[in-house]
Amino acid sequence: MRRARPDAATAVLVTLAIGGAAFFVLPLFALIVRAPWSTAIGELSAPGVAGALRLSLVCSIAAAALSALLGVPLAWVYARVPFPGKTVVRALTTLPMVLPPVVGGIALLVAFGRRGVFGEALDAVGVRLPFTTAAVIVAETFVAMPFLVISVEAAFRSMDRRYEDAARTLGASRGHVLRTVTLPLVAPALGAGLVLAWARALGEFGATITFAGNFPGTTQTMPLAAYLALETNIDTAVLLGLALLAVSLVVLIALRDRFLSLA
Amino acid sequence: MSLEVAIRASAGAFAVDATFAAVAGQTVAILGPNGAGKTTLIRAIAGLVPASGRVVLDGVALEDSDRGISVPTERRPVGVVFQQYLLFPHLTVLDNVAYGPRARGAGHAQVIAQGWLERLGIAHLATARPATLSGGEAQRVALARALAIEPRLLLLDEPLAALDVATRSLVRRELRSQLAVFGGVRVLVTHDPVDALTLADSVVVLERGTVVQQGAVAEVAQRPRSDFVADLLGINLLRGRAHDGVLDVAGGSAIAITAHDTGEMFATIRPSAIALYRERPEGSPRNVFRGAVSAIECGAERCRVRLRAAVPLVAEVTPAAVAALGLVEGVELWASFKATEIDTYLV
Amino acid sequence: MRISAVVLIASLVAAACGGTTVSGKLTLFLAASLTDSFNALSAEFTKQNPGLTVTPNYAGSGALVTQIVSGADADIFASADEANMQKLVDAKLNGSDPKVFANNRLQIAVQAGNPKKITQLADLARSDVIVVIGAPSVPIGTYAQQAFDKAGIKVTPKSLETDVKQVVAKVALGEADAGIVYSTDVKAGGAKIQGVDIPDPLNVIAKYPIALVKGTKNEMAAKAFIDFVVSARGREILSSFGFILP
Repeated sequence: MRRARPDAATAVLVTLAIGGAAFFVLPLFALIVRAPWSTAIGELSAPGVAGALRLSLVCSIAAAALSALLGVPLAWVYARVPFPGKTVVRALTTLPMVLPPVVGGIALLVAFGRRGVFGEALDAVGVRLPFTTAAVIVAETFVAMPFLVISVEAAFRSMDRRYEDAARTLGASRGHVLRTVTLPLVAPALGAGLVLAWARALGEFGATITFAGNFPGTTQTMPLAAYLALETNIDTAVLLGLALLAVSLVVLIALRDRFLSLA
Repeated sequence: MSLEVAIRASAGAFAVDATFAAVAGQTVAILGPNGAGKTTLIRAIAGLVPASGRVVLDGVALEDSDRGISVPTERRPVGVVFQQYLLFPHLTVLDNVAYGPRARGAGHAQVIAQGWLERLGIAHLATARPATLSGGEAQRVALARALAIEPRLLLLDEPLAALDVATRSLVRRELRSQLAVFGGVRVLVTHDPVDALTLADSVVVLERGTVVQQGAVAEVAQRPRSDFVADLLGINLLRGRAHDGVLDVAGGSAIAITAHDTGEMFATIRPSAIALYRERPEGSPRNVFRGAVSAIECGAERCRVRLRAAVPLVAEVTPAAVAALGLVEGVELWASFKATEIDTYLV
Repeated sequence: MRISAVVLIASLVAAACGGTTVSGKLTLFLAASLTDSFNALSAEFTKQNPGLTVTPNYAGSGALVTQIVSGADADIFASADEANMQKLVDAKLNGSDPKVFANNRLQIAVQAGNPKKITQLADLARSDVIVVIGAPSVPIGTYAQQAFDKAGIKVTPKSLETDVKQVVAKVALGEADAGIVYSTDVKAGGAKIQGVDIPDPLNVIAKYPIALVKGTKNEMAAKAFIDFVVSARGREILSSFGFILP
């Protein structure tokens, strides 16, 4: 029996695809090959490392949660409520996806720093953000929330609103409909958005170091620790990078490709 | 219990202006082609689109523009079966049916739901997800869901449109008996005249957003007051007692049919399935009747010939045929139609 | 015999390079604290050598040397301390012997007007003073810690910055009340900051070595630039920015 020969188009696509995969796999593979495995245990059990990893996980999860708390209502308003200037507002809240993170950090500093436009007022009531763990969460939320909003807004727009009509005819108040029909129907997109936001928050560097600063235990997340380690000992930096890589890989594989389908 | 509707509503490109009434135990069919505004009318009665005018159910105004009354959808005692059923995909069948009672604060919603599932013969589907249901099963779940809230008005938007042709006849038959159990007013929206003829007591014909004729089904079907209604409803409807492949209709005639059921039965024959002859035809059709032309209406391509015969019939032939046979009012002729051309439904 | 051969070759090289202008491209990897002074030095040098394009790259000395060791293309490296220059030497990547061309002193940078009334190092240990210093991997960070040790005080900074200019920025923005920077940074910092002196016994002298990077593609221009930096005119420029000359 003759097997069908793949045509030229398929061959080209597959070759490019292999190139694409190599783009990611090769650097990560090199990281694993060059890691100083013999000293790994010692380096990774250094007190700073555990602290940085814990801080990274706590802050990224908090940032994802905050993104959902504020992002879902925002997505709902964008999808359902017409108001003047919506295009501009929407563009502004999507900006952090395009803006260099450091610029985002500068903006946060100028707004909420001790002498910031709004920071001065906050300072007067004793709320001080820079150099705190809270600032890390704020910086990470700033860059991560747009991912969640985009994912959830698309779901709100594409869902069949007649399900909500059906629920109302059955006697559900608008709030009940939101809780029992609307939100469950966008749950997959919300899940995808949460994973994307979390991943973005975990890797955030520029906005964090600019707005929150860098201090072990309080604001030194894994990316910052890796960057600074680069200046003294590249081996340590490689190991820190690998630790972050391992954690992220575990989470992404555990979720399999559920986060890939945005519907 | 009764329903009075006199409203104007519009949603997007569709506008409708309709006035009709119905009493408990009655089924009103809103019949019209797609785009006539039927769905808009249903949605307006349910309160899903803004309307002006009056909707009064059992003496309680659900909508009264003059007095500024507009009861929100969730507080109208109206159950709706939607065109594509719209069963909540993230809930099981049982939770779908229990949704209404739960939303209205009923204590034992699940028990209520279970009861309705049993009444409609789908208790075995309680834990199934809507995506796994067949068309007929989904229709029953949708009906159970609407009935579970004990509404006083049941609205059905094209309840059979989502089904394939084979299932449609089956479900239509069941729907008739299910609707008979519901004591309130039933409003059924459809584009299929057969639905109107077999399920409804009265029909409201809607064309381009306005009512062009309404009344008892038989009356409207036999005395259409416009070409549109005639075309829409121009189908022959017979009723009688069936046994052994024969349908005994009022007037004593026996029609040969293909079904072998026994009992009260409807039979419909399309006018285009009736052939006309000047002489008695010899051939395979079992049903041959003698009659006289009572009226002829001709359009550009088709003529409808109304016959006075043992059973009143409407035949559709070409203008050329009318000319060739020399058909005018009063002419005597023969009509025949095959048993296989007859659709039958047990009442 | 060997000496005269060297003299011969040297004079030949000098004859080839000296007296004529240099051209091409030069990439300089320079400690962040050299920003303002080396911008001026490069400007003057390129005015003298119009065919030359100088690209300075300012960052923390540790980051710079790591990049060079990893293969970054640099012609010259100037560090804010000898420890980081030593890393280049240990990697056998220096193209010439390192030469200390300038010294610097530490100063406390505070906001203009000194609102927190900081007068000495010990004030940085106050609980109402927000202090920002360089990270341990950056020379200014190690120097700061040395000064604290000399003063016998324990200071908990709120942030460890990646280079000295970030420290200056945080003070200038008003985010930090005080930072340990070089006196040259205070001079260059503009109207937003002012300096508080650290007395000599507590101060640290920062030594700035400069060297060629091995494998430079423009050895002639690089050598000429280093010669310019240590020349009288070069020293004049450095001094005007506040550096102390060896």
